[in-house]
Amino acid sequence: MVLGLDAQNQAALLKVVILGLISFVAIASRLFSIIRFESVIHEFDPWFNYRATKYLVSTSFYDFWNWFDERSWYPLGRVVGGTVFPGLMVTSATIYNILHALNFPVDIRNICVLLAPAFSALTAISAYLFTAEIKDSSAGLLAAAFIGIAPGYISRSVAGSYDNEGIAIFLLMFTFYLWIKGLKEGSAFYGALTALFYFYMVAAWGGYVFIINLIPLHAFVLILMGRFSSRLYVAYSSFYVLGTLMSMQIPFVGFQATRTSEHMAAMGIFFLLQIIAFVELVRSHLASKQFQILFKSFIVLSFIIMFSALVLLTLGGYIAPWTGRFYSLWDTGYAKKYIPIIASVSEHQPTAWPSFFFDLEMLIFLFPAGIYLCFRELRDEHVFVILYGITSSYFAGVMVRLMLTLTPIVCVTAAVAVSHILDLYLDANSLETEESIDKSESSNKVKHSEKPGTKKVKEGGSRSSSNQPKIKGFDTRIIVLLNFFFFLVVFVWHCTWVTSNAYSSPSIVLASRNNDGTSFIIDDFREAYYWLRKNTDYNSRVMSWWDYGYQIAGMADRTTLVDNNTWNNTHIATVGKAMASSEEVAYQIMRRHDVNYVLVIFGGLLGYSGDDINKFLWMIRIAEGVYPDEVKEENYFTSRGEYRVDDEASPTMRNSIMYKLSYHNYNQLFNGQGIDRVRNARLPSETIQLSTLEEAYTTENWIVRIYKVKDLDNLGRDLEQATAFNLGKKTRRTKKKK
Amino acid sequence: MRSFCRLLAILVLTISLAYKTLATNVTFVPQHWRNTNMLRTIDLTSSIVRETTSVAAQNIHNESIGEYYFPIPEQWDNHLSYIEVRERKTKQTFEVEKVKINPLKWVPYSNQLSRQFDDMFVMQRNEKNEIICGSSKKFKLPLLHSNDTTSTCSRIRYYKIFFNRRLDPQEQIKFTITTAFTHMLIPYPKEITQTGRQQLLFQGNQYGNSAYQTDQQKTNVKLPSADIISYSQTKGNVIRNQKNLDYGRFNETKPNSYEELRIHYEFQQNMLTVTGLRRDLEISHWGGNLAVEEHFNLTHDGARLKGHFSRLDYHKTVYIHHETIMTRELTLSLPIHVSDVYYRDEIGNVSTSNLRYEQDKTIFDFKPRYPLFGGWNYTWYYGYNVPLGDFVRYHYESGRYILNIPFVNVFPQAIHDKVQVRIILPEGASDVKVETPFVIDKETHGVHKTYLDTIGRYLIVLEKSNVVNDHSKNIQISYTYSSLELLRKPLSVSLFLLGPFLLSMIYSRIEFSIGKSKRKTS
Repeated sequence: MVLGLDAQNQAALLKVVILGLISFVAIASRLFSIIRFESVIHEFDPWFNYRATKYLVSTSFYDFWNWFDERSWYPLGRVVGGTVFPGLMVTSATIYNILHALNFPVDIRNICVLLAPAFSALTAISAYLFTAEIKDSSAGLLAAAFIGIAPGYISRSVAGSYDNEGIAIFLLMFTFYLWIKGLKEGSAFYGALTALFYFYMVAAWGGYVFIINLIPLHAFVLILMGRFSSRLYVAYSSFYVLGTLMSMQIPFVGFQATRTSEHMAAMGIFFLLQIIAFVELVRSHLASKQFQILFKSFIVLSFIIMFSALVLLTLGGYIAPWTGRFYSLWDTGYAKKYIPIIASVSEHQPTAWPSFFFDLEMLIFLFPAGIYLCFRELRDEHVFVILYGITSSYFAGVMVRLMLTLTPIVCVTAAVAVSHILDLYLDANSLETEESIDKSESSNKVKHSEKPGTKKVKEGGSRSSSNQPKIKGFDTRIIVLLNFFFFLVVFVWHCTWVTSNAYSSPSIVLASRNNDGTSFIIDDFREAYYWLRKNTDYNSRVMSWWDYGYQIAGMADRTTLVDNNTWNNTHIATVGKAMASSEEVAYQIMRRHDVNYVLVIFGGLLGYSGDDINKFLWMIRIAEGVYPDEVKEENYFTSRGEYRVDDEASPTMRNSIMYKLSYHNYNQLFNGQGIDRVRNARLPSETIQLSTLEEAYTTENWIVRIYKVKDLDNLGRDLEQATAFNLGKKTRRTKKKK
Repeated sequence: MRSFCRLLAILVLTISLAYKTLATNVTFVPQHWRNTNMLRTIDLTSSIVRETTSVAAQNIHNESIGEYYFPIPEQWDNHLSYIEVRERKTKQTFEVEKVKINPLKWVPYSNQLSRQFDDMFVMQRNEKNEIICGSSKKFKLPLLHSNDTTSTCSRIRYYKIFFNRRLDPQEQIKFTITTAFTHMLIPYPKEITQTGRQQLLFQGNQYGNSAYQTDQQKTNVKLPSADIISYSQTKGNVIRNQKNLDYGRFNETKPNSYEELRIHYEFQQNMLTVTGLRRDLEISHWGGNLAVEEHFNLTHDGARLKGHFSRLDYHKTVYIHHETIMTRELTLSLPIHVSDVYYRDEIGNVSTSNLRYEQDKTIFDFKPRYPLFGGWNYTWYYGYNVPLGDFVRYHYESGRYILNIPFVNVFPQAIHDKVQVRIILPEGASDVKVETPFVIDKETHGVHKTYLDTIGRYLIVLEKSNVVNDHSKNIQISYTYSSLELLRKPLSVSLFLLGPFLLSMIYSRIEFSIGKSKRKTS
């Protein structure tokens, strides 16, 4: 008796304490970026979420719902309320309002920054609940610990990474937990709760499609396995009906929930369940022979009717076919061919195999072991784990980004495997020799050994050894335990290392080291954005590649032409075309779009490789997709098909404004020929003359360069002539002097 | 007597004399004084124009008097930031009060008074209630609108100086009037290139401001450098001596005399204007801490940058950065015991700052995100903690706490258009008194609520416009704060922490399920 509690309460107390510690670790390990840098919003998309949250906080929910953002996608604008998953913003705004009602004047930025770590603690708890349903609570605690620090999940949920995924993984796990619970108990209450959290998930992340396909798949497989039960019927029906109705309340989803192919499987399974339930009802009233005939004909008929209805509706346009993003899940080459804008995003690339190890370390090896253990037991929930594991490992292989959905199930199965081993080798009651353990393991009764009540069975299985004279000696089990202890330590060490080195950089701030070892911060992005914010007209339009759209809107507070929303391919292609064309053509485009400033990222001086010249090929490809006559990819390569920026660069390349804006004045910095440190190239020695644009600001390390679009000439000449005239006069004068 | 003077002064202002044309006319300030000597120094070495007038005045009235009128033309008065009068010998300060006028009480043109003085400038309001003015003789059509008052339609504001004693007839008094004016200097040319040199234009009066006859006077102008492009030389009585210009001596000058003084000179310094400054002071008796946070909106008000900024030129002209018109680095001095200093702006932390500890202060050097050229803006805020004991004392006799802290902590050379000081006293502070050494535009008292407050903290907001370095004098805020109030915070915190436990206790004892309970009670 500790603290005057009985064993049950002690265990409960221990669980709460351990879960509390795991939550703390989950939060703490995500704070590297705050400690290294500061509490700041990271990357690109989070800047939009942050801006939208600020808008929501400063106005009302209805204003947010009806928000038409005229400061992006100039001149089209963007209907934000209808094109956004509002779950994240509403969550932060709710927290903000509650705290402010309690007189906690917490800055909205800090809420946004810390939201993902806070939700990762909740994810750990839901992973515990989920795994506790699969195996037992000790496996649950392991799963919670794994998911708390697994880099695959941390990569999307460090402090400052204010993105939908931050809360979505919690919702995913919790929805699945509720589904398993509902299925186990056949409870309409849990089914409704599943639907509620599914609704939250729909509001939060596009990945909800995974839930709405995985749960029906689970139901379908259970039916195929002949495991149809009233529990399944109740849980699924309550989930599907409520979930679909609720998900239709999100404007971005709306009638997609009943009209697109992604949601058809769920609907089909729902009808199938109704039929089976009806058939079951009929069977209980009919003789078996009659029933057999009825059953078969009924099944075949209904299947034909449903399938043909689906095909007809799709052909008739009532059901939208699969979207391109989904095709790219089946065919990894699809996007590259047809939708370059999707392929241009690095997180949409197929996963390289080392990243599985990088993100999951030893868990990826334990994953199959866990799946195997699930097969051994194969209760309904184990079927679910197996299906989840198989589907998500496929998707994780297709897209780097979907590694995120794989991580939770890997953590769960690995926890099942590890806890299995620990159950076996940490049993202090039995002092068996190595042999007997081998025997007991092979005796297929291992699954009982974890239950305290069934220890007798195990002892019975190893009776032969207990009859032998006991020799108390070196307990060889310790070798396995030490081994696993070592693995676990290395796992923690690896996770910490990966988190601190790979996933904790805000990417808007770059860190570097001085010669004396002190850290030094390169803050060029914010320097430029703040300059724009403070020293240009509030209504200025800034043209840049879409990657920087959200950041410009968030940090510089200026109108952008395109941003990371990428909803209008033509508009993006137009910007790509402007960047890829010569000055005259680009000037036409820029005048037509009322562009005041052009912003380019140039890493040549510092060796920053994520710059616009490296992204330029994608701009060209996207532009070519819409303007195939005017932009041609091959013109930007040398005759030998190389992508170069030096003397051998093709004339089209050198005439493009992207090239000119990047390297303008760069040669003069080197008093001759500039050296591009990203591409290790020596630039052509001729000076770059701009006639339609003029340099407005360049940051300290030349990473961000902002140019102002000149007004039309006062004398009605075209700007090239005017510039040439001005220059010509100068040169003539100097000639005269000579 | 005093009321009579005031009446006369109002009379003067109602007719609104334009001193330019009025040089030969009578003024309406009672001529009870004669300035026997006046020495005026105009300091143009910074972007704030500081003018010091030393006056030796003699009472020529037949009664003893204690007041003296000091005129400032209206277009200067708008720029007046600071005025202080001290007796030369004793260094005692005299009280100064601006003579109030009500513009709506201006006498209409047709009034007898204006007819009485036929050949002078008058002002009146037309049907549209606009101020119009012109020579009373020629006055037929509305000539100018009120916005154009600077040149042709000037008016004079009077400051009344109250000596600390009454002076007998024929008695002399020597005193110094110190004034500071902001936004008086105009960059000319208005735009310069990135490495160009900045030149300023100063316009003023060769004679000192005086409402009385002056026997002898001199005006001395101090300039930042010997590079003077041009200066007024109307009467040839100017002596140029390196960085100094001496005008005068002028004998027997009439009241409100005017002769244009125009100096065009080189000024290789930044002209910084803080368009808004918010200073938050939060007192915590529990933490023994004073938290200070200051929000700055800064504009570089010098000659604007011609064309655009070129990073290449910037790199290539490193060797003349020290004499380029741009702000790369700013320096503020903070109290000696500061800790936890941070420096941020709207989009996050700025990493380019440095602290240096000196004997009696801490020097805070920080760089804006980008160098500020003419016309560019930057905003930021910074904050720090200091031990409360350095600024708050307990006064045993009255049982009150006294906060004694500079009104502002500003850049010495910068102009501060609007300053807001917010003082947050601890929860439960009462009987608050504010004392300031100068006039504050607005003082408001309110409530501020923050982390786990119950009734909220006492908030004082002081606002003042046109602030310069001379205003960084201490203000005193005294309040009572009973030691029982110290218990308020721990109580509210423990209640807040206890809340979840209480809730969970209640929750675990309530049965939610319908029907028979499955839960076993252990």
